[in-house]
Amino acid sequence: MNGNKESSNTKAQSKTDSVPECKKTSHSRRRVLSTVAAGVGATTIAGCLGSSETDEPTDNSPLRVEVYGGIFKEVMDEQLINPFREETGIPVESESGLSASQLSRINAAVNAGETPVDLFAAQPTQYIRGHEMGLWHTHDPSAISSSGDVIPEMMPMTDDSELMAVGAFGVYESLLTNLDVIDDPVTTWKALWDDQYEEQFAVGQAFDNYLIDITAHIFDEFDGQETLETESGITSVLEKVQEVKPQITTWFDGEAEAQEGMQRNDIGAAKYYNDVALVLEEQENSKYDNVVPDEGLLKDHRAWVIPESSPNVEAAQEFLNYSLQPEVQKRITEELYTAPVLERDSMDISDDLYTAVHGPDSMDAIEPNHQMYIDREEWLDSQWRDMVLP
Amino acid sequence: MASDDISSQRTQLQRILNETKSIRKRIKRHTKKIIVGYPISILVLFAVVPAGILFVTSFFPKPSGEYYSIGFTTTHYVRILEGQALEYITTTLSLAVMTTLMCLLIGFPMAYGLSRFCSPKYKRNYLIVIIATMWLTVIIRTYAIQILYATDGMFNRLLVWLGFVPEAIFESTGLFTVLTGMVYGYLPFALLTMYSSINKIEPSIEEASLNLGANRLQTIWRVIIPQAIQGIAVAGGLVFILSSGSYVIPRLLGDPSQWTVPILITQQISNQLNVPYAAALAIVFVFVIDGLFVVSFWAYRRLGRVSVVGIESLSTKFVRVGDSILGYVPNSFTSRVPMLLRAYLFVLLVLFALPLAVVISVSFSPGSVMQFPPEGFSLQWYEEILTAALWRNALFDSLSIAVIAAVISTSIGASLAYSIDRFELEYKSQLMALGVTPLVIPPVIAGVAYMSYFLQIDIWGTKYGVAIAHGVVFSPFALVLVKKGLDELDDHLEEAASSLGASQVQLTRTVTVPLLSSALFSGALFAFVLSLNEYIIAYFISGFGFNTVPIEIFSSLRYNYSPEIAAISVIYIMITTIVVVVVDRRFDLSLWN
Repeated sequence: MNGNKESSNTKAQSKTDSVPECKKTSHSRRRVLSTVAAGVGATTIAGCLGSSETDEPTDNSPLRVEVYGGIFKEVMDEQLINPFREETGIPVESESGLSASQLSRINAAVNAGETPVDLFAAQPTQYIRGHEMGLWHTHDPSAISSSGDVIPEMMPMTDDSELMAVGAFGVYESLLTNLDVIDDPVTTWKALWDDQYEEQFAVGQAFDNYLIDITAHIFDEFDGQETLETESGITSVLEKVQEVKPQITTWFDGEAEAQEGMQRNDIGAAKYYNDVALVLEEQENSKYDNVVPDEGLLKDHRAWVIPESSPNVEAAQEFLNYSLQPEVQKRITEELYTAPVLERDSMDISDDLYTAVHGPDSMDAIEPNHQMYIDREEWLDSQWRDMVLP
Repeated sequence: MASDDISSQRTQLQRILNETKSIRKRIKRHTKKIIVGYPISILVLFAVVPAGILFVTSFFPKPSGEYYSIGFTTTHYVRILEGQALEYITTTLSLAVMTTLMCLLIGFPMAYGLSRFCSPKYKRNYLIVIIATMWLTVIIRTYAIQILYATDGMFNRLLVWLGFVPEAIFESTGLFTVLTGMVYGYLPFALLTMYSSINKIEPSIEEASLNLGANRLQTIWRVIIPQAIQGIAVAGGLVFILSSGSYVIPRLLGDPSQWTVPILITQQISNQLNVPYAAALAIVFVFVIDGLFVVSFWAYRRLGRVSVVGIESLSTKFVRVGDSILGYVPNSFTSRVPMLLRAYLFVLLVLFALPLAVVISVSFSPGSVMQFPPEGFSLQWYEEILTAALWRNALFDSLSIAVIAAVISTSIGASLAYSIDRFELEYKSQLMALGVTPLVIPPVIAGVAYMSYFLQIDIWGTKYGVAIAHGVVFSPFALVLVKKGLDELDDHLEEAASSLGASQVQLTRTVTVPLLSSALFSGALFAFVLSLNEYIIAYFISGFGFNTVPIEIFSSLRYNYSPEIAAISVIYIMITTIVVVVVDRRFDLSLWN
């Protein structure tokens, strides 16, 4: 993938720098309760398989998978949800929503003993936080398997050597140019600091939009992730990030805002999700141009998490194993342009497609330090608002 | 035997009648307690207690990367005082003040012109269009404003084409656009409130002023404004409160320099789960807003009251100066004021209808993303909504919650207003303060407070939980409107009914309530409309079992601006317009009068 391959055995157990350090969290009370509950459930005579009192989904109470809305949901239904139902016979349906970004609501639901859905696709900061709060079910690694090699950082582990979450898809970020506003495609992250693009750019508004990581990586005066290990280092990077302000016209929350702004020609270029950018480029080739920046794509991912209160853990694990199969990952990659969670060698996809979703093998992607955004969240939020946001 | 039976039946009947009289006497004795006690208990249970929980939560510690825990710390308040949050408070108040002034300045001539110079039919149709814009979900209305003000948008293209400007001057985000969005959103509230006040002023008083030599502008200044001052003050207060708690408009139309306290609070909860800090922000913000109201109220009383006859003015010198200045305005202009007002009303109607027109046209887009102007015509999105269980359920849930919320809010507001106005109570101002308390708490923090509280009392994730929350939060509208209606009620009518032998109950039922029907219905209507459009509180307490239409829309808008959203908004408007018009005609509420 990045030319730095390791053996699959060590990957399954190793933690790379980009896999966050996990704090130990006690689940003992929840474990006891869920074990007792599971025991009671197992001995209850349901009358028929799949009643609401057992942990098997039924037609009336199917396995529920929350995915992002719009085209994303349509493709997931076509390539993952429906085939899973047909091949396994397990009732499953997808729901569109804000997924694991709504941790406060999920926390309330789990504490109330409710199950919002059985599976969420979570960002790293979301699955780490959720794990700290005891919201997610953790897996024995032997319960999750694939006939392909799963990229290790997509399978974050807890301190107890259990799986906190299971890789869903890679989400890289690239540079998307609106050719109706800017004639030549923007090809470098450093364009964000170029005053010829004054008030042309759109970037995400939150401090964890990884602009800090990009800045630390692309400028020689910084040492990448090493610089971001201290507050003084982060502050010096933020002082550099400040310089992008004149070039930003939109600080968006959801990607649809940026897309809509480009549609109106209010935005000339965006730091954008590579998968969505590729779809836009495909749909309107004359208007959009998506490039892998000279310095590399920004690398991120989503992983499936199961709320602790879910009664359908086994079925959910079966879903996870299905989603990790190479042919399923291939279908999703081909239709959604998200990066696969399997190593390149496990996948039968074309080189062009792999390069488009992942970037060339010769170029390392920029890997963010997710743990930093959690450990220093309050301080970073203040600094971001003070120094970067207008 | 027969006579014994008859006698015994008579005795039984007499006993029943006596018992009934006794029950009725007991009810009558306790009526006052019931009428006063009902709103107080609901507000204490569902406004004071959650606010208390919020206050306590603001002192809980919240380590980085973890959820908050029970404990005590003042770090959140220290963080607020360190400066950054104060900027957000200043921005919020500035936006609210500017919005209020603009709504009053724009809305007053509208209200006056509509009340005085338009036919009943024109008045009704005009108000229907204005009210319909209120029912346009704020999220989709904001999108329409972005479309209109975009670099390539209609307004810029028109101005460039007319040669007024060499290039685009409007932007789809920024201070001007935020203010535009706020005025679009809250002017109808100001207009309806001021219109209701001006409409009650006898035209003969105005005629008398004109006959005595004052021109139209002097008449407005010396006669209309003083008599409508209470309505104007209420309109200003309403707009200020609503705009200071606004989340969606500054979030979508503003850049970060226009972000308000509600946005900061929401981001703290959503992004970092920093509920204690968000709670501390809310407490500080509420104190600031309350402080402003106390100062304003003191200033209002200090400057003086105005009487029905309009002799005493807010400040005699100030009024006289204004009067003199207006006296110099040529008659050729003042005589044209009615015509100018009609033209002004027409222009504003077009401006108000434009976002509505954008949304309606976009709802017929054939493509998968919203486009204006649409590149074709298709009914697919309406078909999609009417066949999709997701939208049908959301629509049904939103409407049913809104109806229940309207009933709850009107019952709380009306009973409290009646108690304050009619009963001899020692603590009237405290009751009034209790009554408006839900309004001064930003919806986002009300949502978080209710989330914690409803989990404890086991109504989180239920529709009636959302309805109760909405009913309580929007009850101040009914309180203010009904109180105003009671203040403006002609006492002589009730005195006449009483002297003709009507009991208190008969008087209330046959005289007071019918005279108040417009205020009652307006209060219910405000609550209904606000509940339909309300996103943040519903988001925090609805759980995952159901979604209201605003939640579905906001959730969809994050990933895709689909014309489906425009279509559901149009359906929303049609349903609510039909309901209001039908109810107005069926019950002869004369809402437009």
